[in-house]
Amino acid sequence: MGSSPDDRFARLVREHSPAVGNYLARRLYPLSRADLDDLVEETFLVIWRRLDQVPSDAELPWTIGVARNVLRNARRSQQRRRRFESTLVPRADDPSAEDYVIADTGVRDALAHLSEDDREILLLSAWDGLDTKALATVLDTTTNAAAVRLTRAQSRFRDAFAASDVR
Amino acid sequence: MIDVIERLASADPVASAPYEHPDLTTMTARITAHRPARPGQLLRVFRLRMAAAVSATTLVMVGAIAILQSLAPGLTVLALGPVGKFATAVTGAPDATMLVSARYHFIAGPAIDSAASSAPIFALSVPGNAAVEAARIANAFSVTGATLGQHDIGASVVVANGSGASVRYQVTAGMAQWTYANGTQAPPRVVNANRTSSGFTLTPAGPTFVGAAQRYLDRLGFNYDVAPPLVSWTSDPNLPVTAQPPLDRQVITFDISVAGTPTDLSVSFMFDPSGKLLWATGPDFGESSSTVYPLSSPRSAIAALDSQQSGSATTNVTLMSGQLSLRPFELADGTEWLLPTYIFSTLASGPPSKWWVVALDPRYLIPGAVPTSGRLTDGPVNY
Repeated sequence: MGSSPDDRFARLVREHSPAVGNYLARRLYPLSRADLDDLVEETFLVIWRRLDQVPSDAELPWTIGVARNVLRNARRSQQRRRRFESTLVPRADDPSAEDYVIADTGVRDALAHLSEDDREILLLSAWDGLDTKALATVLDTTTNAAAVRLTRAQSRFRDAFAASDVR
Repeated sequence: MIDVIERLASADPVASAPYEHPDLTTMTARITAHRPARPGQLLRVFRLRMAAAVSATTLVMVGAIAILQSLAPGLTVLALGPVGKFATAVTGAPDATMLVSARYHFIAGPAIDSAASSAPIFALSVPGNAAVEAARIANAFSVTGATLGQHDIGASVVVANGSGASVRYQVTAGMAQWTYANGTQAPPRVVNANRTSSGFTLTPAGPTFVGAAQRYLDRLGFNYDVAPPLVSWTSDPNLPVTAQPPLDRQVITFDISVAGTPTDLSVSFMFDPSGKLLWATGPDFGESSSTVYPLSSPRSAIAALDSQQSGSATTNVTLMSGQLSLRPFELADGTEWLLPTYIFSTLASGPPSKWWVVALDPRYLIPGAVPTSGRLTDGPVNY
């Protein structure tokens, strides 16, 4: 007996909105906390429009994948506006979104030495709790490739942590 | 001893305060009030919309609308998207775009026109097959490898070759964004112009890679027009924060215009010191139709900008000049349009402050959560 689209969507919202909100909250900067609920709603609006495409065996990673794209678009949209007032200066002035929310300075310092790709897969695993199959869904890659990328990112993180002055 | 990966997990910033939406029931009801599209439905809606737009265009003569006593026949009132409030400015963050706040009282300078005019709005569309378009763009960058991922999460497609170069193509509403990256190259960082760059060495004046950027642009073959390029410098975004690397990466930016009107869209290319392309990005869109809408007069728009503030004003801001610019907005029905905005400048001594506000006659616009005005500060600084 299948549920109606409305019922399924309501369940998706109920079950996955905390994970979506947490995912976005961890990576919100340079957007503001006041935008968080809107980003969550934007994510579920996309899911509602594509409800028949949400795989029943991968609902959470699919939902996180949508949130990831929504966040990218929001940042891109903001960057487009800020371009009028901006110039390009070194990264030293502009830490990553995660740098703004990590209290552990040792972890923060080690993460700062990683590439964007390493940092993303590492945090999707460590913070969002995604396994390699789910990582593959979110990152548009194969399970095997996701596993390799994660292992390498973890290794580089350990190396960066070991080399860090702040532990 | 605790493993460093466990330490990373325990550094999760939301662990102590997990997210909880304030009202899931209302949000769900708001979303499900719009029925999900069935296959083919979006295309039919699009065709109907285009038919309406074409009809409207034939009914309204360009420039004929000066002052309307009532709504012009055939023109649809545009409802801005109910979501996407993230487009508002950041508050409390470094270099945040400032919200139009209660601190300002806007005054129109003597040169600000009080006559209303009209201007076209543009419905945007994207190529029908994201995978084919992604492959075409990838080919312009000599990336001819396999499509690594293609699924329907925002119609995201990645094409990559064996050497690590890739092109990501992502579609949202009526616009797509493509990004080329060589390996794990991160995008250049953009921050406020008035932030100091002391402590960093600017690359001496030398050859620019404008010609190379222009050749890539030609190969990409988009239909939109671009302005003469701006050249900026940045450091390697992949280097660690503490390294303070030199500003030796060159970024060539082309501002995009549509039908002779500037937009806030651009195409950018970043090169290493030897001229190797590291990263590039830009939009992909077409204008599927245009319809002329009446505008507020610049003077009325400044009055609107002023009225959108609350509280008592403490600083007078005299806006001395204004120009039209196009900015993409997603409407409540999920379509994306370029709408005209006014950009006003104080032209004061020192860095001018700039403000933007939607230029459409307000009778044709139903506000949503998307902002219709805001502040811009200094223009791009080029080294």
